[in-house]
Amino acid sequence: MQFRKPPVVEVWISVEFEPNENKRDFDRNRLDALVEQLHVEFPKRQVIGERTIEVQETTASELPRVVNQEVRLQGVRLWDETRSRAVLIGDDRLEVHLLKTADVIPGFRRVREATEPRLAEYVHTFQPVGIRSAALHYLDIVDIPVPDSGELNLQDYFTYVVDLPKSPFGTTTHVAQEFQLNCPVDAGPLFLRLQSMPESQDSEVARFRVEWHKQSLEVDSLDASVVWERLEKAHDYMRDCFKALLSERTLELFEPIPETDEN
Amino acid sequence: MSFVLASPGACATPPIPVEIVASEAGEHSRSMFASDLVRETLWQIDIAGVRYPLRHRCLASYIPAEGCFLLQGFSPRFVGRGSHRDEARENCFLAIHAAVQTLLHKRPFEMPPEEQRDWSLLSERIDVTVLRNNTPVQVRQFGRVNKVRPYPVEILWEDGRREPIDVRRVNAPDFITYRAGQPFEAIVERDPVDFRLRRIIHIERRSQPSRLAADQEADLLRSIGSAKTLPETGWD
Repeated sequence: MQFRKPPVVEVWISVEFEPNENKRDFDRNRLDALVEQLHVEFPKRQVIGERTIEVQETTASELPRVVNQEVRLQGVRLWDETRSRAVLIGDDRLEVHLLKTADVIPGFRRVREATEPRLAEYVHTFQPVGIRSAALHYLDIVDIPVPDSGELNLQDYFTYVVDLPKSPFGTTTHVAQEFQLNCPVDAGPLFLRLQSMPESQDSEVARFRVEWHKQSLEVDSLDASVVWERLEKAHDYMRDCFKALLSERTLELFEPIPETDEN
Repeated sequence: MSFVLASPGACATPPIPVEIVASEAGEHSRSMFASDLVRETLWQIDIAGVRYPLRHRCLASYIPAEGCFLLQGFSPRFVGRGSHRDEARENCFLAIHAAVQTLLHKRPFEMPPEEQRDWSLLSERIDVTVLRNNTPVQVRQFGRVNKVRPYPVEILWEDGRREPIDVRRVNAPDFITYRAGQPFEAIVERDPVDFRLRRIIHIERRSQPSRLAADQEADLLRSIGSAKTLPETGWD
């Protein structure tokens, strides 16, 4: 099933690597080389670090004293000029993100095409011995028109969402639910979260974000075709889950394209 | 079972995730859920050199393609627009900054109903007390260097107060060359709570004030005039 107005706003693939036996630390020289290589396509950089602060207890009347601070580099996020594509190069980690733009709706095929060259470059630069896991991530933003009464029944739109009865709880104004599911067709869990969002200026619409994170574990190979085969499976599974989670009424909001022999 | 939109300005209950997974797996899922590029968590709003402390952690989301930046609690009144996340975020923060600076120094009776609603929304989410107590005051002061050991270490203000000064807190490279007795005019940044000197933003040498001769002073006072020279009038 395809849609004219699918709710997806971001799709990304993340890959975790098994380092080679010579690794001592996150190799800054290799990182710099890869960042430089991608500079023309991804000119904007953000450095992601983790600060550890060591404090020493003092007397009861004084604040603890900071005796040591350490900043550990976690990765570098590179953005393209339009800020619609990003690559995160981390310690044994690679992520490729695509954001929705006015012209392009991201999807599995597009994110796979964007990831393939980055994966090859990462492997060439850091020389890992294998891929430990790969994950496919979707972020949907679902806008639901609020009826004149101002109330909507969540289960009319999200088939399996759990809500509390109005009596004695009162009216739900925000909701967030998380699930971790064992995928029956591929090794590795699906993390699913449904959450209401801050209101937009259009108060006639209730906005929800639905996150899908399917991890494929035990890839244990550097062969990209193995990764794509696993993620293809994950993608099909997530598509089935998407259709099952959202009711017919919700799917109608995305304007489904009637299936014909051609599509 | 029902769901309604929280009315603007209403005190919305913060979302509570339903933790079904075990704790170790929960940690893993949290890192998964924190990895997208459209959402961020804010403890403060930093804009134009001002830091607005928030009372609670605030979730922000950028909606790609729509180009809007939504901040939980502040939206829909304050929504940022831009071609990418950073631009939309800045647009949103500037709108909040402008609104706070417009309303911060107004008394409630000076605010029309719309501004009162805005102030209620902003002050419910921004810790205004902390903001006030951390926003330095800037004052224009006159004084002279009182002690030099061998660089300026103490100032004598025109009201007679003495204050130690560290040359590193003075934004003027030549301050270190000021000699004892050098008069100056300065823009001073002070702590709003204890009025302690934080730094001197700008400083300029001034010439030694001189006293006029007695007859010249009398002439000057005469030329200025006084209430005595005003015509008599009543309250009506």
